Amino acid sequence: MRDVIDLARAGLRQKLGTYLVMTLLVAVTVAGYLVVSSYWQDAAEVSTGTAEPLNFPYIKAHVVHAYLSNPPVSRDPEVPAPPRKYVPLFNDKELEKITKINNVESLSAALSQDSFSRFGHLEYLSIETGNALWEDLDLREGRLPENSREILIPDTIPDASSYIGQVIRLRVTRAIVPQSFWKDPLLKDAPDPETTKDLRVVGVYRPSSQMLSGLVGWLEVRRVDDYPERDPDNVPMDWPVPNTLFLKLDDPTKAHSVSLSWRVLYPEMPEAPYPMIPPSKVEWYPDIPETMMKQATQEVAMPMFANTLNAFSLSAIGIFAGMFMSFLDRRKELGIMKTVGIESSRIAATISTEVIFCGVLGTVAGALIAGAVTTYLVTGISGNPIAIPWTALLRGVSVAAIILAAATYIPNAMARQGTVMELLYGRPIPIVRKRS
Amino acid sequence: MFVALGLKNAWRNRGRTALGIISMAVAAVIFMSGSTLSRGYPAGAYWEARQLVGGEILMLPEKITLSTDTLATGGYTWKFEKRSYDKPNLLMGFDPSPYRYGFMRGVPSGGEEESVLPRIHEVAAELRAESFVAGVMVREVLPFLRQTQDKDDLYYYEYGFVEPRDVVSDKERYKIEEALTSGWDRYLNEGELMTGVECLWQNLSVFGDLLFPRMSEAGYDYENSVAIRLDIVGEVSFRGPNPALPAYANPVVFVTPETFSALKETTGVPDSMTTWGISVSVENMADLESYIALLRRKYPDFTVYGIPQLAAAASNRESVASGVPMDMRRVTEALSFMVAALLSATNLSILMLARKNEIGILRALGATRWNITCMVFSESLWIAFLGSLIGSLLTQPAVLYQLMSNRLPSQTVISTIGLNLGKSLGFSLGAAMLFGFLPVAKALRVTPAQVLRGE
Repeated sequence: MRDVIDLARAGLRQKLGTYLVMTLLVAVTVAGYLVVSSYWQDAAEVSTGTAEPLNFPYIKAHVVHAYLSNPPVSRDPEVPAPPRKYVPLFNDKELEKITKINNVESLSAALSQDSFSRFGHLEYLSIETGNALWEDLDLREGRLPENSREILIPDTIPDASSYIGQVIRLRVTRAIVPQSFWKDPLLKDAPDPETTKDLRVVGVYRPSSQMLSGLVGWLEVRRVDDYPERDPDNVPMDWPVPNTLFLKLDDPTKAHSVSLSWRVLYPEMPEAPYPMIPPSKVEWYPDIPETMMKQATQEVAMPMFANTLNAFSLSAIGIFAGMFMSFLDRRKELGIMKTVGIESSRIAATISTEVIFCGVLGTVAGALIAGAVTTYLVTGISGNPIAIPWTALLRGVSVAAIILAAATYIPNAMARQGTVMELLYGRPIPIVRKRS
Repeated sequence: MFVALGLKNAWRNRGRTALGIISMAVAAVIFMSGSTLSRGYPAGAYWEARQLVGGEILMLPEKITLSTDTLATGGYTWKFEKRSYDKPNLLMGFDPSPYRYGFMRGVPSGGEEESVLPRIHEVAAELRAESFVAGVMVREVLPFLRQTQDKDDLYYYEYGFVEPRDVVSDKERYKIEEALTSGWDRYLNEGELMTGVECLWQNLSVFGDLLFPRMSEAGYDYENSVAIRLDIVGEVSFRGPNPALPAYANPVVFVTPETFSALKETTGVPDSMTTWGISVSVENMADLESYIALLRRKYPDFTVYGIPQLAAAASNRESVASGVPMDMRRVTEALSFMVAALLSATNLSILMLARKNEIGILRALGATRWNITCMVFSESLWIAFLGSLIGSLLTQPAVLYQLMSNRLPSQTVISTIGLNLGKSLGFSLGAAMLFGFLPVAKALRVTPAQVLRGE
C-alpha cells in the first residue's frame, strides 16, 4: 500500500497542473451544487411556511356512481371479451371496502352542486343523513337539517343568523366547466329534476376549511344493490346521485397512502381499453396548500437546477479530459512500471489514489467555498443566512464521486489492460481485452 | 505560412475539425435562440387565443403565481381557494382548474385586502403611456344564468357571463370577423345596444332571457335577478393548434361597452364587482416575452400572463403554471459556449499529442514559439469561426421571419441581426482563444531534442 501511495504522490507532483485543474473543477462544482441546493431548500421552506393550512382531516373525492368490474384482459382480438359487468359504488359492500382502508376513520357520501342564490355563487353540498361529516360541522346557531327542504348556511355570510327560518331560493346548474376526467359514457346520472329549490335555513355553521364552506343540505340515502344486466346499454342511477365521498382520516399526514390504497382497490387494469374506472376521480388532500406551494417553488427553481446539471456535465467532461490527458502523457512511465514487475492492479490503484486524493481535496474545498459563500456572500430568500443541510452535502459528495469514478474508468482500464509494449510504444490499448 | 499550416492541419483532421465546428454551431444556435428567438414570436403566433382575449398580455390584480421576487419580498399568506363563478374571467377557457379544483392565492399578510379598482385604473393609465403598448383595456364581466331545456325536455340552468369588447380593436387589429362560425354574418357594431356575440362553448341563441343578478349587500343576488333578452347576432369560434382540443372558449357573450353599461345600470352592479383585470395589446410580438418580464418586474402586485403561456396550458390540458420560472437565458448562453469551448480544447489537446513529432521537426527547422502559437490558434479560431457562423446562419431564417412578420423597420432588423452575429462570433472566438491556451502550452513544451530522442 505504501508503494502505491508513494507512486501516487510522485504522479501528483509530476502532473500538478492537471490535478490542480481537476481539484478546482470538483471544488467549484460541489460548491455550486451546495449553494444552489441550499438556496432553494430555503426558498421551499419560505413558500410552504406561508401556505395557510387547510385544517381539514379529510380526503374529499369526486366519484362516479358505478364502475366496470370485468374488463377484457387479452390483447388478442380473437379472444372474446367477457360480457360487461358493472358494479355500483353506492352499495354498502363497496363503501365498506373503502372504509376498511387503513387510516380511514369514517366515510361520508354527499352530492355537490353549484348553487346561485341571494348569497351569490356557493357550493351546495347535500350530505347523507347519519354520516359522520355532520358531527364535524361546527354548528353555531339553530339545528341540523332534518329533510331535503332544509339547509345550513355558513357564518361567513353577513348577518347570517338573521336568515334562520327564512326560505331561500336556490338555482342549481349542470356542469359549468367541462369535467377534467374521462367518464364512461354508459354511466347515466339522473339530472336534478328540481333546478329551482326553495329551502328553509335552519342553522348557521362555522366553516373550518375551504373544503366545506358553502350551503349544507340533507340528502336521502340511496343504495343500488346490483346491476345484473350484462353488456348494458346504459348504467343509470335514479336521482339523487351522490358524487362526492369524504374519508375522515385518523392521521391526515398519511392521506396519500390512503389514496394509493384506494387506487389499488380499484385498479386501472393495463390491458383494459376504456372504460375501466376506479371510483376516485379527483381528490383534495389535507396537505393541498403545502403541496401546491412546493410545486410553485419547483416551477420557479427548475431552470436553476437545469443549469446546475449543465455545470455538472461540464465538470464531468473537464475531469474526463484531464484524466485522459494525464494518462496519455504518462503511458511510457506506466510501461516502465510494468516492466520492473509492478502489478497492473497496483498501477490502476495508483491512478485511483491520485483521483481519490483530488476528489477528497476538491470536495472539502468545495464544501468550504460553499460555507464561505453562504456565510458571507449570499443570504437566503428568508433573509437569514443559508444553512447547508447534511443531505445536500451527502448528495453533492455522491455526485462528485460518481463523476470521478466515471471519468477515471477508461484511463484506469487502459492502465490495467495495456501491455508493456503497448504502453511503451504508444500503441492502441483496448479497454476490454478478449481472453482466449 | 504558419497560419496556413494551421488551416491545413484543420483540413487534414476533418473528423475532429467537424466535431469542433458542430459543437460550436450548437452553442451558436443556443445563443441565437436565447438572445433573439426566445424574446418573442412571429406576428401571427397564437392568433386564435389573441382573438379570444383581445390582447397579448393579461394582468390580474391579485397574486396567483409565485416568482423569485415574491419569494424574496414575502408579505403574503397563501390560501387554497376555489374561484367563485361570481368572478369569472377569460382565463376559464384556457384553464378551468381554479374553478373546478382550486388554486393558491396570495393574500397580503398585513391585513384586509383593499379595493383594487383605483390601482387597476392607475396601472392602466401608466401602461397607455408605454411605447410598446398598442392598446389597453380594463376588463369587466357580469355573470348570468339562463334557463334552457335538454333533449328530454327537462329544464335546467346554464351559467355564462357577458364581456364588453373594444369592437374597433377586435375588428381591425384581431380580425375577429374571420372567427365567425358559418351561418352568422356579422360581429358587433360600434355603439349598438342589447346585441351580443357568443363563443362556441354554449349555444345561447336558441331561446330565452338571460337572468342577471342584482346587487345586494351580500354581493350578487340571483334570487332577485333581472331577465334581459340580448339579440345574439353572431357566434365566434377560436380553434387552437391541438386537434384534440375543441376550441379556446368560454361561456361568454361579447357585448359593446354601451350594452354593458346599460346592463350594469339595470342591475345596479358597481364597477368594483365587475372589473377583473387589464388586457394589453402590443405593437411587436417579436419582443413579447421581454415585455411580459418587464411588466412582472414593474407590477409585482399583479399576476401577468402572456398569451403563449395560456395557449400552451390549454393545448396541453394542464394548469397554467403557478410559478414563474427564473430567466436563465444568459447563464444558458454562457454555459453552452463554455461546453463548446471545452470540447474544442480537448480536441485540440489530443491533436497536439498526435502531432508531437511534427511540432518537434518544425521547431528543429527553425520555427519559433510564436510560429507554433500562430499555427495552433489559427486552427482553433478557424474552427470556432466556422462553427459559430454556421450556427448563426442556421437560425437566421427563423430570426428574420420573426422580425419581419412583425413589420419592424428594416434598420431595426439589420441592426438586430448584425448585433447577434457579432456577439455570437465574438463569444466563440473569445472562448476559442481562452481555451486554446491549454493545447498551445502543450505544443510549446515540445522540444526538437525530445522528438529526436523518441520521447
